[in-house]
Amino acid sequence: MAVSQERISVHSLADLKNTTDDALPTYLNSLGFKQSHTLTDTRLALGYSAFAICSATFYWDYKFGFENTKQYTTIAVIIYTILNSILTFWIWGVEKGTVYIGTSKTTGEKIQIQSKTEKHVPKYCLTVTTTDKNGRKKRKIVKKEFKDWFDAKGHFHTKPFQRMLAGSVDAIGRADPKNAVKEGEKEKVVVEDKRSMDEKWASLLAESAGVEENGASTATPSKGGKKRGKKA
Amino acid sequence: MLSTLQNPRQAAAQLLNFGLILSTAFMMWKGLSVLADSPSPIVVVLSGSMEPAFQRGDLLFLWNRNFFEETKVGEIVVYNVKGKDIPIVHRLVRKFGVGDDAKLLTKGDNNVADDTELYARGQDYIERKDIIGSVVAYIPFVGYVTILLSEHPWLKTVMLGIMGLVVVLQRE
Repeated sequence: MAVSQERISVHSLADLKNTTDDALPTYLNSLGFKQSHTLTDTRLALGYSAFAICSATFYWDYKFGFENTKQYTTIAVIIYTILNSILTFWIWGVEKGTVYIGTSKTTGEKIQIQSKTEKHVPKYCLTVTTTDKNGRKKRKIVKKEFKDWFDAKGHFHTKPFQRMLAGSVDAIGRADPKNAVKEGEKEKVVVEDKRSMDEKWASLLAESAGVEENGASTATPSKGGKKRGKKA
Repeated sequence: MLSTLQNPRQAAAQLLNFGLILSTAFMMWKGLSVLADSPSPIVVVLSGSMEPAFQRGDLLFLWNRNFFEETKVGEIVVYNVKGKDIPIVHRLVRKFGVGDDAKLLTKGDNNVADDTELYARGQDYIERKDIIGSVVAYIPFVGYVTILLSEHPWLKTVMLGIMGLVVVLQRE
């Protein structure tokens, strides 16, 4: 099972989201989706034109002084403001957190995935819009906890993440039937027993001492214990 | 985290974020300059020559347009002297004539003598074009940071470094 070498801080929601966002395209592209970069490229083009205008302004201001270049600076400021407003609109109104747009090479389905997180809630919220060949749109909201594919140490687990996507989005499930396990069944496979021998002993002892445990979680007082304990 | 830089689009986007922060700050400054028609619409008081009106470190906002009336005696103006690169904040105390050719004399409230000593050699007065703005508003003390930064240049390097690191490492 693929586990990332890198570790992130599980306490940083931004890290959790970014790592997951980055893993999404890799997975979908491997399934034969063709990624479209139009949104990102437009954003980059807007941003870099604005930046170019700013650099030019800086240059002529530095070279020729303020008084001699006043008109140009005025125009540049106006254009910069306009470009920046379009950019802001693009990010908030058009991209809306889009992390992936791709078309399936086999079925011709178009899939758009937007991701977001709410403050202090460790859940990954996806809005998946699929458009089939006839142009029919379907929108689905998927909300999953990050702990399903991050372990307590902050390693990213590819398999449960892929199962989560394939299991909850039909279009992805069709492209990756092996991973398309339906909800309920999934939970069991997701959690790996990564405890060391000592921890297992400790939990066995705890069990015999009458401490109740639920499912795959452990009540060990180790570092990861608290995180896992929450999993019900 | 740095491995994300392997993706060229993401690297470009991250670089852009950094660039846009800098460029937006610069363009806001330029926008204010154009609006106030002054090459430097915000200045920091460096000396105590205008006490008790202004102390060292006060931040002044300048306005350099004469929509309704000419710059008149009693206004606190910021002017440049040929051959000196630091603008001076002093009060306008005398004015002879009208329009752009009016001869102006300035003096610091806390100084004993007027500014003829401060002007360039052989210059007895300043003109409207030497003035880069009249003070219209001020915030006490907040400009002291820039005084610290210019008196201890290494602080600049430290600050830039920290800001750069934060922007590169954080993607929120």
